[in-house]
Amino acid sequence: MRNLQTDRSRPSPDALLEEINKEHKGHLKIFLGASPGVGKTYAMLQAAHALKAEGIDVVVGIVESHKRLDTEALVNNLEIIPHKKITYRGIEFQELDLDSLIARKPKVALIDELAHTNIPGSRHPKRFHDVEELLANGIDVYSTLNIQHVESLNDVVSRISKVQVRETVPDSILQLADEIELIDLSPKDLQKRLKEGKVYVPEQARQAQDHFFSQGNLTALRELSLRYTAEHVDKQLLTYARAQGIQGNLPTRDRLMVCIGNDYGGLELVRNCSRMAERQKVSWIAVHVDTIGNTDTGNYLSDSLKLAHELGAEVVTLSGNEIAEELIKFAHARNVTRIIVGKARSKWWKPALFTTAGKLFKNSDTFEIVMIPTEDRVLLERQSVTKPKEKQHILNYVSATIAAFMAGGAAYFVDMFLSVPNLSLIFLAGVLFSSLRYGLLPALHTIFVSFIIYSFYFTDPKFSFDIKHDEHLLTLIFFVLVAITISNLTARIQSQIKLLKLNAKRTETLYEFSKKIASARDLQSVLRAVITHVNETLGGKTTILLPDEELLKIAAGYPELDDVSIGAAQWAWRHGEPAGHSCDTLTASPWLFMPMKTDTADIGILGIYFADTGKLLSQDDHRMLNTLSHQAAVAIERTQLSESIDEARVYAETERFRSALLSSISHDFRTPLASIMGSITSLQSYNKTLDMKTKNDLLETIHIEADRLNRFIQNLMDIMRYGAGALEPVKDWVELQDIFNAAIQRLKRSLMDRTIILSIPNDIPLLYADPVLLEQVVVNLIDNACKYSRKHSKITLSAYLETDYIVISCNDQGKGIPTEEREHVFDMFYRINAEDKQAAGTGLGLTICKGIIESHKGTINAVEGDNGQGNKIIIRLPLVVNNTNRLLPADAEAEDNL
Amino acid sequence: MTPLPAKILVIDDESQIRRFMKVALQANGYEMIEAETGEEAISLCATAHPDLIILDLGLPDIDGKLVLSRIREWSKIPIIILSVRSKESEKVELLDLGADDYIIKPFGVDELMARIRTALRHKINSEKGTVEFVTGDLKVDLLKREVTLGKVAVHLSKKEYLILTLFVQNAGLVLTHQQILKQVWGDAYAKETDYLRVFIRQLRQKIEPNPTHPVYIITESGVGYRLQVYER
Repeated sequence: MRNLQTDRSRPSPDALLEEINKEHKGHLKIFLGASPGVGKTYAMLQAAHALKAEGIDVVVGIVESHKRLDTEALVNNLEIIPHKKITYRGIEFQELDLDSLIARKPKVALIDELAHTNIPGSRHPKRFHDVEELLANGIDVYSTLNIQHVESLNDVVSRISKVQVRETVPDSILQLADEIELIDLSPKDLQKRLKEGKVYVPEQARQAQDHFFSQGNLTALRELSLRYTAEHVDKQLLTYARAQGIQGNLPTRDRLMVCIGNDYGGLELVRNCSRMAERQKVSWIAVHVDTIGNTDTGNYLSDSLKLAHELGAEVVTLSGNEIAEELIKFAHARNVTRIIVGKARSKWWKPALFTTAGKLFKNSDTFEIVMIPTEDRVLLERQSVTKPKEKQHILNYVSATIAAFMAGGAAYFVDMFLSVPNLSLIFLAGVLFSSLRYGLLPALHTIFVSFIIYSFYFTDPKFSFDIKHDEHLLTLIFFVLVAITISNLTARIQSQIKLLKLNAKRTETLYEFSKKIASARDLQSVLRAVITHVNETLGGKTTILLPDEELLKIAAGYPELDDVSIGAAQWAWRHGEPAGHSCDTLTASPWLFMPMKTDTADIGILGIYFADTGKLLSQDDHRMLNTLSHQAAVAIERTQLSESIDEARVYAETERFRSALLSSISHDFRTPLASIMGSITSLQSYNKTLDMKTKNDLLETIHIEADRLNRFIQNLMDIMRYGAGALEPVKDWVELQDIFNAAIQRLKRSLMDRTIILSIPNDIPLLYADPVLLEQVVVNLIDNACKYSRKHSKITLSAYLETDYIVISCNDQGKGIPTEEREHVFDMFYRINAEDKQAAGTGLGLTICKGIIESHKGTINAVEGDNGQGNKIIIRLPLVVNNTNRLLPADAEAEDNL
Repeated sequence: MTPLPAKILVIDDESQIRRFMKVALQANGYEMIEAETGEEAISLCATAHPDLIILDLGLPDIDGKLVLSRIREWSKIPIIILSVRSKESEKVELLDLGADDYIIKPFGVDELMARIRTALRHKINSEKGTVEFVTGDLKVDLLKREVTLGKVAVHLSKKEYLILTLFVQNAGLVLTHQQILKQVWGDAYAKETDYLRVFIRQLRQKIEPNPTHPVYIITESGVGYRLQVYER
């Protein structure tokens, strides 16, 4: 019990979070008025002055004084952010300079006329979007609003005032407001001010002025504002109560669902439901069932869904053939408690119970169904919107006529040979055929023609259209019923098939897409797959932007964007929300930019170009793009991760290389230098006391060590070139003997009494190889053999032919390499402990050999030495056949001897 | 040896190299003048009339290749190139451009002096013409067209003899593969190095005491061959 109580008084986390969020963001105060002229702007400016007097940093973002002196005086006493000049269709407009204002970052900004629509080319289409951005940047905003601009009250106001208001503000922004101050003025006073010319009325509204400012009108609007403000206060109280853990009337877990069709009534339904939801403080869902037969005439559907989205609803589109069935299934799944539908325009042939609303009603065991009569403006609107009527192909009617005549012919033959009491059944075959094949109207046509033929030829009196028997009339009615039933059934089956096909196709393309990007190995192929897919499904141009060192850059696809679009892309990137075409932000761009996000990171931006800027993206396509950009983001992240793993590996390798190099330079280079310095300083200091032999020994040491140093440098240079991929052999025909001789010559001083045994057959073919690199290989082999064998030992260097290879081997008499280490001796900086403590060298020699031999397409291995003694390195180089063997005997021996 | 000491121009931007070269050259009785840059070298070459030039390729101002070709425009003075290993293609290019010889850094003084003597002797020989050439046991009589190794007459084919005389005319200097191929076979054969290898192998079989360890025809890896001169 106790626990329960403490639980109860604990503030709800969500509510706390909401409060905290509000604290971090800027605060919004709205000065709400029932109509123009009540003095909102004036009140706002006065409030601003009061703040300024308290020392609070207040600036004017944008305030329209409408040339009223008292207002102007108040404005001029405040700091004003210069307006941004935007030229649109040759006229210069002054708009709020959002960037400067954000950069200025005052405590409070004054933004007049919250419902204002920005000039195309501004960042956001509406001023309230600007305000949202200011709030997000932590700037408090004071703004003004007339009640007629509140989205959910829009149609109520238009019904009261008979004036359609186009500029509206979604209720969600009013919910953001921390404070709403109602500026109230009695209708009489307002009318007085109007007469005195103290109220600014735009030119185009002058005609409506008298009606709008009528006493009745103003009273109604005033009441609406008062009620709205009171509701808002109520909501604030509730938020506070929840944040403080005070138990008030907690909202029930109701959920509303509004069903939207594709007619005008949808907008009104959405507004109604929004108000209902707001009043009950519950969430609501706007649902549309997509059937194949339905086409969205005049964008009503997308407008309604968009409005619902703006008003804070969750928007869902279902697909199915039975609207009512789908709606009920969905409503069950989502625990909807109340379904709002428009009152159907029932038609003479369709009783109310068979409409969607009626069907819902029939199945409403668990739901409350609210039917709202919608004004049928569709009839009015239809004049402007010509419905693209499906053309009944004239051929269908021709075929239908032929079917009737065929049936007639058949009946004629049957009549000739058989005595059938009712020939009309034969005509039924024709009707069935027509209704199955061509639909209702051609089927009726067949009935009509059949009836003429039948009554003209087969019924008494023949050759006249008179119908004498009631049974014929009955047949006619029966035929019509059959035609209607069959064609309806067929149409339904066909549309179901169409729907299934469409769904299957969607699923298939998505599946294809995920398969494609799943198999893409690197970033570029993922990007290519995404672009190809979007191009194929939506048509037109696509581009992908990825961040490159904090800057968005086009990574693939269409390579050029105009400035507005770049701005939109950047906005989308910064805010992680779609921008551009079909969105709320920066709609002037013909591109739609979808952020590509994974659960953990923002990856980039997907841009889709719309050649037809008037056409908005359908809800379906929007969802498809959402799924697609998410999949793309995951795929891109995957490749980036694998790339960064590769990079890390390369980096680690480089690091290892670098540290090994450093130790090599510091140790292996200093050792010979130490000997050189030591010898030289000895010579300098003890020149006179040293005997000749010692002097020569010292000089010899210097020479040997300098040679060694030179070899180290050569090795290092070679390994650098090898690492940089620059160890490209410059091949020429070479005599192996020459190579061996040159290498031995170079190492002469370092051999230290080791004997080199050369074994090369005289007839060994020429090698096609890089002589300099190959010499380096042999030098390194001998050098290595010296390091790991004792003085006075033998090193056997041999070469021989082995079918397609020339084999070079070097065998020392050292203690050999343990079997498990043999494969490692070619690794960079790998060293084994050297014999008799000789400096082990750089650990690069054999690595270079391997690099050089592999660049010659040869192989190099370490094996056990001959007779189990020492180590043996075996090199196999591919034999290249030259033409001298064929040419030479003739050339050389045919020549006269001297 | 000429009565006046030969004047040698050393072109190198490293003062330490010039310092030890000066010591070595003077010890061998040569006079040394020095230049740090290519431009300086070219003008010094024209004004001071050196007998031989030692040219380092890594100069601070202009490419050593350019210095060489500019000097070669008006002078046949012997030029020895100082280069490093693994720049064989550059050496070949310079030798083909008219350099007389090259030496790889780091080098020993003995080697340098031998090269200088060879180049100077070549200059004198090409001026007065050689009739008989001797190196070690090998003797080539250009008048009688006779080749002897010790006391034994060596029989060479026409092409082999042609190659040998080319070596003799440039005794001690390196000849690039292309130079030999062009001289002996003609321009069209400049790339057929495998011909040359085989002929050199045959020539060595005939004139070298131990063909597997040649002492007369020495291979310069990646560049060409040199006929080694053994002074008496």
